[in-house]
Amino acid sequence: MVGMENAVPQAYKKPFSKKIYPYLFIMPFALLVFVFFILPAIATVVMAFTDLNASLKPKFVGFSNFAKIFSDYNLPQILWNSAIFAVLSLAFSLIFALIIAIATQYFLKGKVSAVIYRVLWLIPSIIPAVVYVTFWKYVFDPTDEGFLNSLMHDFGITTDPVSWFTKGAMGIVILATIVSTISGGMILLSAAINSIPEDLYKAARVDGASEKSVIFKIILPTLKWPLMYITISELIGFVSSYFFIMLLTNGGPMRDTTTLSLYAYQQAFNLKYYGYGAAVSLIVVLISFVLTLFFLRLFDFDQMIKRSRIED
Amino acid sequence: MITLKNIVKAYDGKQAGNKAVDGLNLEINKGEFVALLGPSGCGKTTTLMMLAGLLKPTAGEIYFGERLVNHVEPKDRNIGMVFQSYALYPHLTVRDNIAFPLRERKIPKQEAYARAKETSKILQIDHLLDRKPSQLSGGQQQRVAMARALSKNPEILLLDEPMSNLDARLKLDVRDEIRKIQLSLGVTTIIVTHDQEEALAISDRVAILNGGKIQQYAAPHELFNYPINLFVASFLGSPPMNLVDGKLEDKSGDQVVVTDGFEYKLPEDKILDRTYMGKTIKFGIRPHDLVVCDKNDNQAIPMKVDLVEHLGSGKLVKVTDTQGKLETMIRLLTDNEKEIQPGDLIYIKVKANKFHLFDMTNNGQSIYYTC
Repeated sequence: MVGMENAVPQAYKKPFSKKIYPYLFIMPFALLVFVFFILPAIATVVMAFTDLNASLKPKFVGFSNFAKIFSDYNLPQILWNSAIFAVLSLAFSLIFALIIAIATQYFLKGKVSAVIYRVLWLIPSIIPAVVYVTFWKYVFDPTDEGFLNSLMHDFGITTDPVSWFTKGAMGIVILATIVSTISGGMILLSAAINSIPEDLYKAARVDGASEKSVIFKIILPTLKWPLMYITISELIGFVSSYFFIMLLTNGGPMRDTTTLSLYAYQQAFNLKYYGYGAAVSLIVVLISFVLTLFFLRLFDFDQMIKRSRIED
Repeated sequence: MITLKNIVKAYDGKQAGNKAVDGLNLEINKGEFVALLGPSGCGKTTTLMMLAGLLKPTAGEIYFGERLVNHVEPKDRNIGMVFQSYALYPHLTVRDNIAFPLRERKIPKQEAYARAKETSKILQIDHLLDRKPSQLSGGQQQRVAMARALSKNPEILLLDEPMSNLDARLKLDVRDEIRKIQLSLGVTTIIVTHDQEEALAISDRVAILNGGKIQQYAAPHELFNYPINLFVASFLGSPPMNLVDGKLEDKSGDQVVVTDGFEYKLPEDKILDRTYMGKTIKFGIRPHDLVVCDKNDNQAIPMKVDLVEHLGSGKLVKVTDTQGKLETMIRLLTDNEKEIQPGDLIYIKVKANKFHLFDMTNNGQSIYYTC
């Protein structure tokens, strides 16, 4: 400790050295994240390798849960259902969100009707899911009382009520899903279109740009990153969500609308095969992860983080 | 030739009835470089937008040559336009930006690119063709915007404050270059600016706008020397013209400007009409038309120095009358050699009788000037 004697008298010392403060501030949230995100994730992974069930006496079973999944004769249909549900829901909700955003934010920019129209689209996503599902159940009710059936009967198109859910359960599930998810994408895309400076449209008019050029060369390129975000987040949502399907059809009729995530839920919480359910949901996570990487690559995400160069 | 006849533009909405442009008449000759100059809100940008066809006049007619273009779409007007924000298409390369107007005219890609290259050479940006606008500096973006406007060989080039986003030094270079290119291409050019130095430096004629009306439309030196009214006189010039409230009086045959702080006898060779006597006027003298003189000079006006500012090339001296009765300070420019301190008593006179008189009973119309 040479030279310490000559040092300036020690000022008031804070109870902690400066370095600890950031960690102190993060701590409460880090704890929450740990308890509610990381622990369950670890628990799920661990569970997937056990035969945990209603008896709550788990035994380590290695990969047998996974082996069971792949030998399940329902698997091809469930995977197919998942794929159809996710791909069609995503495609339709993206396209509709895009069309509505461009229509209201470019063609009808600043018009009151455009705002009202967008607000209307928000309704499905803000009413409670149970109410929303009840609405669709009423619309496609298989009896004479159903909205669609009574309408078709009144117009004399059909005489006997149609059992909509037996004929096109997947269609109804997808319809209900996209109607309630369109608004999310629509808002993001509208905001992105709104950020395009007015001068660009003016320049395009002076340059004689067709509407097609304005949409494809000015608007769509601007939407690249929002589109990427919507694609990935909605896709993950569609792959891992089961709520609507459970309420609307509960996977039926037969297994016509059972997706992988609904299957995981049913196995874990209806049949109490917790270990098996965990294994299935791990597969769901894996699929989401691979799809996310694929779309990041597809949208060339590197471009976004690359710096631009400026010289004078 | 471009002719604007009685153009009126009223915006609807909240301020309905407010006329941004109110009965504007303007003629621009082929190949001429004209500046629309005025304070913000004077209607200059609105006028340019109407020339571009991005706004439709509420009343009046716009002719390009003999053709009435009121309802002609921008793309059919054969104009090129540079926006204040440049408005480059951010997701297209410089090459595609410049070629954009050509491609939209269904000109084959190869030819469009060749012409883009040609235009980019004129503006010395041909080494940047593969860049995106975000990879360019402000000056480079400005050139790209110019190139895009010129690539279709427009008959009319419209510039909306094209240099306001450039730094002061770059502005000087760019404005010389714009003028050079304009002269070599012979394209009729209209520039909107609030920068008087810029307007006076590059234009053949300048239209000074205020309140949606043209105040004066003339060559730069004419505007400066013969301002038609008080607005033009006070708007142009830096430091601005001294304007002193006063009255015209006839004192035993001599016509005299009487102000609160001094009297000034009008030169005998320019006698005003008798009807002007007794009128309230503003007496205007440019700071560089005032000189420090000898006490015994018969036109000497005693003044007290209030403030001395060093401008580098000279000094700006602010003076007031010895009794301090004048409401406004009078500014004059002197050279660096003169020793002047605040508080000094000095004598000044109007150089070679260079002054202006504005009739305040008639909206500040100029009634007299000698230059």
